[in-house]
Amino acid sequence: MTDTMAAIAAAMHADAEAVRVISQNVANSQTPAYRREISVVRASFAEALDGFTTPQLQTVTDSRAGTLQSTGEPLNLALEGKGFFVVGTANGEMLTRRGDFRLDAEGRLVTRAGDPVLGTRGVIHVGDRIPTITADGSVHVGDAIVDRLRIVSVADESSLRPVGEGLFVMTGGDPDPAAPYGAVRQGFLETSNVQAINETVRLLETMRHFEMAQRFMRGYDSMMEDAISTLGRT
Amino acid sequence: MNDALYIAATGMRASQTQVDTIAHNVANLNTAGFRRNVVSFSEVSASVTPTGTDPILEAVRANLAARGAGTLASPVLSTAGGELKQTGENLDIAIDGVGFFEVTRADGSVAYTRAGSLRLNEEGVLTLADGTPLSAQLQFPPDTKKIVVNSDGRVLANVGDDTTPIEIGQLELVTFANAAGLRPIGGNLFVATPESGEARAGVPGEEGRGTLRQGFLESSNVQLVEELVAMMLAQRAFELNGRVIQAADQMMQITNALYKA
Repeated sequence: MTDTMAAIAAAMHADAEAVRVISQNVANSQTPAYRREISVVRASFAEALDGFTTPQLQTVTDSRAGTLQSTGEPLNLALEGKGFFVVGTANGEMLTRRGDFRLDAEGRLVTRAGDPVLGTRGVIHVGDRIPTITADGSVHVGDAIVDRLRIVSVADESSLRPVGEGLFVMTGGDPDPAAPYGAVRQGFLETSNVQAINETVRLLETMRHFEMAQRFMRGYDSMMEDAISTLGRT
Repeated sequence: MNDALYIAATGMRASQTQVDTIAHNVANLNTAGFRRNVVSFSEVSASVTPTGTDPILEAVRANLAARGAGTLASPVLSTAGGELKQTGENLDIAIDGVGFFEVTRADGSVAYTRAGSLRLNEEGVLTLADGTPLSAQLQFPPDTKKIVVNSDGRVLANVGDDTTPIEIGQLELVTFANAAGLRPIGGNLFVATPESGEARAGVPGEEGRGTLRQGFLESSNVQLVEELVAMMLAQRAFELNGRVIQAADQMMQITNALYKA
């Protein structure tokens, strides 16, 4: 394949991948605290110097928070402002902003997937009563304070990698314990930050780019055809 | 391209689940003690290839992490209580707070309910509206005039011409660690599951169990406005996912047109 063909094919591949990312965002437009992914096409510097650039697609996570939606469910928690809840999973501690928690059969505060939400003293045992959770994250059961939710702030949110189900893993550095974080709101959930309009515009853009790439390839193909038939004539 | 198609299809299926759930909720708008279902969306990721000691972290470092693979919607039982409505009926007993009545079904198994619209059967035993007896097996003498249920579950009755009420028995409430894990079996009844934890019975008003309110019924916790908003969202999300499917299809069409015959 010639360089031109290869470059156009790579561009079309990147478009297909971009549509996959849009599709994932649209499918999760109602997933609580879902952070949409944005595909970015990047050409490497070395290749740019060579005169030919093969587009490479990378995805970055849009770390803007969604809006808070009132649900009235006592175990729905949302974080106003920055910060993350800490979840103890089988693969170590992970962070999440998705606060549609529940109690498990042992009365522990767990995520929808069943992993315990961690407080300053570890796993939070609530029992079979509905706890009251105040803005600072204190978990009240009756008159007693059982524990306080561990909420961490991450200085550089781009260092977080999504691993699915609203969980993030830190890839660099430790959370900054001194960094300020927002307030906990009981009975609220953070909505997904997917906006239908953004995704539709991206979809249109990608589709037209894909179409254009196809025309280019066909044009280049007919040039080659002409070249072969003209130059090949003796 | 095919990925996009399948992912958008999971989105459409999720919206379908949501509309089904909303329909169920709205149909039970006036069912006393009904608990609505809330659809919980969750993003699905293709499994990462585990390497090293900490599979997820290793995969993340190797930049293999979490390729989105769609969404999954599952209905979850809401734990929010409905409003208590005064009915004036002597045997309408609402639970103000968490807790369930335990009933014994015809096959001997137990089930739990919050629908406290009670009555007496031919033998004078306290039952639900459909005749399923409460596990407390409270039996009233045939010439019972007036039944009083205290907030702590003590049941008294005036029998015959006697003006001093006699004590008939005690109604208990059961609580669960995770009431959202109960499985509805229809007829406003729920059964315990490993998810919900075991039923713990006790006197109403103690240890955070709710109290009883005679002459009240708990209305369903369905809020019509919320359901309608959710329905509009579901419909638009369905449409949007449909557009993505169209786009993915169009891309395949464009790809096929690359080759001029």
